[in-house]
Amino acid sequence: MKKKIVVVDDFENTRWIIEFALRGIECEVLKAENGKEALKFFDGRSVDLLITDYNMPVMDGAQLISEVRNMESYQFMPVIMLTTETSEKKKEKAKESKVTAWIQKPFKQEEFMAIIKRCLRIK
Amino acid sequence: MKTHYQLKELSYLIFTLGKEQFAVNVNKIIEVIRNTELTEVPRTEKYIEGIINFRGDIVTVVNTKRKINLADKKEIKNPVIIVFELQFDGKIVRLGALADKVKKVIEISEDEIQAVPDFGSYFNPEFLEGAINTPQGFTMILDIEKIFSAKDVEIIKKIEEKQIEKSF
Amino acid sequence: MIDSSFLKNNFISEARELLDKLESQLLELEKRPTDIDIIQEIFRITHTFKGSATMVGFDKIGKIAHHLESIYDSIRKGVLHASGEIITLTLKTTDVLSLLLEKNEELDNEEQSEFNKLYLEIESYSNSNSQDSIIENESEKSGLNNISEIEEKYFFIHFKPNKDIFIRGINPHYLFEDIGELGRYWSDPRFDRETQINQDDKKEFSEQWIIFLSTSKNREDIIDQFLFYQDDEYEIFQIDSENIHSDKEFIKYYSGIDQLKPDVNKISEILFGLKSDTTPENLNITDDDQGILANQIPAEVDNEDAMNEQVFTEKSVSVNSIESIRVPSYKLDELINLVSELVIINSQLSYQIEGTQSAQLKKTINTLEKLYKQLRNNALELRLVPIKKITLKFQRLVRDLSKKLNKKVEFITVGTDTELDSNIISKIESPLMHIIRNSLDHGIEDEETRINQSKSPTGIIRLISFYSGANVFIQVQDDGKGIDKEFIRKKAIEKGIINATDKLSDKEIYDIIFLPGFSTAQSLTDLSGRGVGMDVVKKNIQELRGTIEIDSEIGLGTSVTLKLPLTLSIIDTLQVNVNEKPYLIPLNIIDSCYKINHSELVNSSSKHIQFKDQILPYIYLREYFKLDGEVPEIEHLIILEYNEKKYGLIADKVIGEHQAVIKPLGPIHKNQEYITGAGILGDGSLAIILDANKLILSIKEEAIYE
Repeated sequence: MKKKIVVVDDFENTRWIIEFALRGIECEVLKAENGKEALKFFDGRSVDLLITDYNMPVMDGAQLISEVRNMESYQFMPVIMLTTETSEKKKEKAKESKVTAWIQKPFKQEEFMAIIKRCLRIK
Repeated sequence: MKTHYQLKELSYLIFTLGKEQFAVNVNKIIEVIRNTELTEVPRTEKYIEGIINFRGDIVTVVNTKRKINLADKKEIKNPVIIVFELQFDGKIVRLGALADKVKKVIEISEDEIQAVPDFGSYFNPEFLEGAINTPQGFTMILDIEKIFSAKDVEIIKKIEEKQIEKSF
Repeated sequence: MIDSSFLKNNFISEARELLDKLESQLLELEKRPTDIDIIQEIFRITHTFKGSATMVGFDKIGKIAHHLESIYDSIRKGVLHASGEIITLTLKTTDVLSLLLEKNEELDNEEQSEFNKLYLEIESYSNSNSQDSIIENESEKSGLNNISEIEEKYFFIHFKPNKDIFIRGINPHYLFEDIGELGRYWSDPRFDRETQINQDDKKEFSEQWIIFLSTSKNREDIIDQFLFYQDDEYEIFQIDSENIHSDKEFIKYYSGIDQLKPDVNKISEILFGLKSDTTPENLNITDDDQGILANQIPAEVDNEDAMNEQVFTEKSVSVNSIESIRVPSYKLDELINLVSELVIINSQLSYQIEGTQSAQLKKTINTLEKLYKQLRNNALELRLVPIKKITLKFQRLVRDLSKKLNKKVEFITVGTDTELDSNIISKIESPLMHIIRNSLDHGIEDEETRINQSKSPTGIIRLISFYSGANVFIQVQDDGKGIDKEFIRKKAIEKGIINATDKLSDKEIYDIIFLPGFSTAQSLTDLSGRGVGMDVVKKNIQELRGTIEIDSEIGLGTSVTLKLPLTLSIIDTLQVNVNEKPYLIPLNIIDSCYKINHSELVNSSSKHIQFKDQILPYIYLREYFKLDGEVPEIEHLIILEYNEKKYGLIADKVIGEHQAVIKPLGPIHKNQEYITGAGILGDGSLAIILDANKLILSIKEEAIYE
């Protein structure tokens, strides 16, 4: 079955490069501009991976993750947090949000794909 | 040969596609033209807008939004055509790319270019040269050669075919 | 990188010429196997070839060329004799070299095994007399040793994920999968695919593992597997049966682990159990080994090189006096483009001054026009290439094939200086090959038959080329048995192509040979019928806007004549409009034009239209191009003639004749088969030039009525 990946970022450029990157692997990309908009994808359907930005208007990444983790179907879903934050404190906060991995923007080349492939268990 | 000690100053042309902003290295640009008559090529790929007579040569004009698969597919009013001179398999090919507006040329030093994620071995990698932070935000630098390389087109096609096969 | 690819491209064009030279010298050598000048020349070519190939990084090519060089070095020193076997082998090698060039050294499996076979063969010749081989063999050995030194290492891993691991979206199952890929492991508690963890335990997960791993990988590779884990969730020690008793850090950590664990004395046993002779790493050795060998080539012959350089510098200077300059063909194309552009601008200029009274101005512009046209003709001439360029290959074909067929054949070329557009030259090569192969296979009789018919025992195939008007004629003649018209007639009746009662002229009978499915079927021998028939040959020639004709006299021989345009870049067209947009159709395929009511099309069924006493299949351009817009009441029917059949093409309007310079659309449009290119109209705008042949082919075969 095709993997479903939700990508949340308020900047189209970022959504677009992530989607483009993901076109190389068999998956369906569901995109949203902020946490609130992304919630509509978590309606019980299976989602294999959530990639979300941290700072976003309306609903930020941490809030989105805690909302999603509260739902039975998504409590153990892998989550990748994108962040431009460098401060240790912010990182600490991201950690608290129970993410699988966080990636600092702009990403390092191998790291990004390695993490995604590992989350989806594809080589 | 590049030396590791000197950082080069590079020039990039900033242009817009809808709301988004992109940059391309000016080295490969030969001209930016406006108000040229486009001749349609029937039955061709969706991302091909048509052909133009550019200094006695046929130049294919590509709908950039479609080619790079931008979500915003709105038709551009009064577009400009950026004409590139590229090299494919040792051959020189000229190509035009549609853009909304050409903004300005910026000079940046090499170290201001940030890395972008890899597209993995599945995809012709590095069709983005990198990204730069401008006052308007994170701007992608397009590697125009990679975007228009025939290989890329073929690979995309193959991937699409595969996905279609799988979805049946 | 750009530099190296530039060098490579440069090398490729140089290499092609060298290979051609090599081939022609080899064919000469076959006639005079002791001619030292030829041997020297071959040696020099292989030497140059090797040097350039190695320099630009074509390792395989360089390697082969190196062996060829040593073979011919031995020959010129009198150590080896230029036997037929060696010459045939060298000829085969030139084929492989061109394949390697063409494929940028990336061979598929089948080709690679062919390559390996041939390589061993030439290597054996080359090594029998060369000292280099000893050096090479030794370095091979040392290469092998390095690789087999890869050793198995053992690691102890303490894996103690935090309680929130599942809530972080991480599944520890996967860690064990990943570790398993590095080598063999032992874990306590056992944990594998089948181990189930219930939902409630996942929320507050508490479990830790003792893992022993045997692998050839390094510590870093193991750490990589813990990508999603935090530093405090795992601990890794490299261990062996000795240091588990001496490494204080390990001992301290191990004894501090607060969980059930094997006794330290048992660890050696566990490690021994993990030991294996067939780790996948061992299997890799052969591959790496080859990699090392492939990198071996260049260094070893330096001294020899220097010497050869001295001997031959003088000679190569005298040989390579500058008669011609190599120019990339795209530069010529560009020049021609610019010149055509000038012609177009000039015609606009003459149009714009029409109203003017100044006789002086008119005169100047007239002169200008004449000059432009001259300039254009000169520019077009630059692209012309003598037909000699490809006849060498035919020589080779005749040589190889006549040996195989055991026939005696002489191949004579006449007028090989005749020049054609380089694009045409490259496209007539394979059709001509096919025709010559046919002559050899079906035309020329075997020696005995020829003697019985009091013909000379050696058959003759002639390739004659000459100019006539704006065309070039190329004729392949043989003095073989000729074509049996009655045989063709019978076969055509058998196949239902003609009726037994049909009366056909000689030309009509010969033309049957060009029909699809005729020539391929019965004459399918090992040589001639490689799945392509004369119909393909004809199609290829027609694509070049040329024609092909056969003439034959039974018992005396057959001739096949190609008539080709001098250049492909200018074409006479008819301009038509569809939806107000101009399109150009090559004039040579158009029979006639008529007005037609749109209602006639609407009433016609299944894309056929009544025209005079015929029913013609047609293409409705507006629909074919998927264009919207208003449909005019009166449209135009353009009758095309192809292969003596008529077809219709429907456009909105016929504008008039237009001589167009064909501009290629470039690689992006290579899937648009129905387009030949684009032409520039008087106002500077572009019009698509349609490839009418291709359009016709897209009309369904079954729809054709006789």
